[in-house]
Amino acid sequence: MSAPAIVLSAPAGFEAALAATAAGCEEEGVPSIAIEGTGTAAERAREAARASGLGIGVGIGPEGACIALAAWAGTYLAGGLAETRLIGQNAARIAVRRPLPL
Amino acid sequence: MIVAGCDIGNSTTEVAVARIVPGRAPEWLGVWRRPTSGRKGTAASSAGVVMLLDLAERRIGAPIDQIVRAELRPVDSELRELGRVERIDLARNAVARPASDTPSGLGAAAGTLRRVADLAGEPQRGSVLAIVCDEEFHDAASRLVSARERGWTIAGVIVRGDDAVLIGNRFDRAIPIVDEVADAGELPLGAHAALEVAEAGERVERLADPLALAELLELPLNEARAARAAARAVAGRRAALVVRAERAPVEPIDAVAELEIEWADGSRTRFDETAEVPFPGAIAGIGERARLRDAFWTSLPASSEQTAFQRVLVERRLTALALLADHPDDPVGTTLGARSFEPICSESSAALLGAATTPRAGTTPIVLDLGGGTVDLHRAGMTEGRAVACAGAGELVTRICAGVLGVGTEAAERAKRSSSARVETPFVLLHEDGTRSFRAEPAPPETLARLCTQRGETLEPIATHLSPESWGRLRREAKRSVIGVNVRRALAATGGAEPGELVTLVGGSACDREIVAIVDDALRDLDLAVARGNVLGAHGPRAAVAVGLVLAFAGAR
Repeated sequence: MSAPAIVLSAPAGFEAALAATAAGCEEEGVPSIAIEGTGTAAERAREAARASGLGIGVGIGPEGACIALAAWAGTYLAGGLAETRLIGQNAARIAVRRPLPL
Repeated sequence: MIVAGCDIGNSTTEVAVARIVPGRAPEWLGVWRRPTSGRKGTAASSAGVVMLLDLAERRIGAPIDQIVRAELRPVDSELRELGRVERIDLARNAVARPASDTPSGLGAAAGTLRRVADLAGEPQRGSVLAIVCDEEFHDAASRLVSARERGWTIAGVIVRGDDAVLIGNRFDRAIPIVDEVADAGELPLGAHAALEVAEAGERVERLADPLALAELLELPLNEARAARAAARAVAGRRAALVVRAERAPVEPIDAVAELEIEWADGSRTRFDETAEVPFPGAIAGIGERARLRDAFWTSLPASSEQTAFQRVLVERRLTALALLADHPDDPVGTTLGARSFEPICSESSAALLGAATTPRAGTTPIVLDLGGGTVDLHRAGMTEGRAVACAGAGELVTRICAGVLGVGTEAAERAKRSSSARVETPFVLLHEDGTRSFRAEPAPPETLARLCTQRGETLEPIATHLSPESWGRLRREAKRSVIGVNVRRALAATGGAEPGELVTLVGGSACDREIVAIVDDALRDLDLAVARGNVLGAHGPRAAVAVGLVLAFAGAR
């Protein structure tokens, strides 16, 4: 069974964005784990959401960061690479059902 | 001949236009409406009528020959602050600062305020509360770890950004850390301060108790009681910070804003917002407002899940007040530009005639016009109709909703008219009756975990922490306390009603889907048939007076 965590996916070279996203989740008290993954930010987000026990995935790529929900085919929320801390926070708030800082 | 009936309301101006041929039923050409421009009865409000008449003429392609209107009396709806208003002057001996709801650690701590950077030097005796401003969280945590290793006693941390948990996880998970303290950089360094973090779902305990707070802040004995303002300001929060201010305590200033009532018999008494509202006509003036026909007041409904904001409302003794002015005539006069603009019959006769065009109504012996400013009751009489106008209707309900929610008038208007739901997850809505529904498409991110108004599939967030159930109850209570009470007052002032009699609701506020039930409940013991009007079988409860004016004109010819 997959862990109750938000799953993050970023290609090599995006370690800082990945760490900032994880920090955003941590500040909200929600665990996150990173997987390898492939594809665009949106594709990584979808793959991550399916792997997440919470059904929430974040994909990172040169085009920015995306939040995907396992139950829905589209991208739920997207932001630039400068906003990955906020994206992590938003993803965590979806999990804990608190209003998003957006 | 083409005749236009004009009804200038406090909120809405309506025009009904018909071709009238003697001996035949009027041929209705249309009904138009727009928000009233300016105060009812002023020249500004007549500009709106002119715009509607121009629009009507363009649509029907013919000039309007005759304009008829009813009397105009403006109503002012407002929220008034009354009585002993304790000024929450936090700059007395303790200053409360709001902090976010995602703190780290647990418990209360007190100490001297010091910047993290200042902890690099020789350790000093006594507890400190460390302030983190621009430091990145890894950096802030390592500085704190190092300071503690070198002998500093760090009792708590204050963070400007949203980093409390991140810093706590890397420094000390147990000590209280509050974050999102916007003015952390301006806190008086060296001053004594106290902070507290409660468990999730709990509220600060020691900071909310004046004596415990005074002890934490080491306030002198004679100042302990004065800590109550700061204690009150942080009560109800999960995390809070209070800073001791080095200045002499000033006793709270009681701002007195009492009002005086001038009664119709010339006597004067002090205004008491808890007293029952008298019959229309009993009050001649309130405070600086003289020449009144009616005054209405009610207090704001209180919720069981009171937020800090709502507690402030109760402390402020906010009273909703509607005042109906008694201006026998008005500056609109009898002309509108080049057009003659004549009062033709009483508004009552017009409302009764207009409401009677509702299918299956037959005659309408009692018509309640629930408008923006007033609740008007019109009764069919032997010859001329009888009427009573009660101050306080839709606009006052909007004001109360705005006060309860702490939002502007526009958002309050929307919240007043729509049902609400909280978006629990992107796919699940929690409704006012406690039921849940599923959405095929996820709700927009900005609506998530918020109370939203619902119109079809469209959700719009309302800035409040109230649950759908509580807000629904408060909204209905606001309507009951204004419309329900005023309907009762109007009926009592005109001699009651026989069981089974038809009460027809017209006016903009009658469009509200909750209003029939609220009026029916208010009149329940009288067993009346309360129904919404449907003017000309097409316009719902709107335009009853405008249509009735045209009918009265046609009938007189």
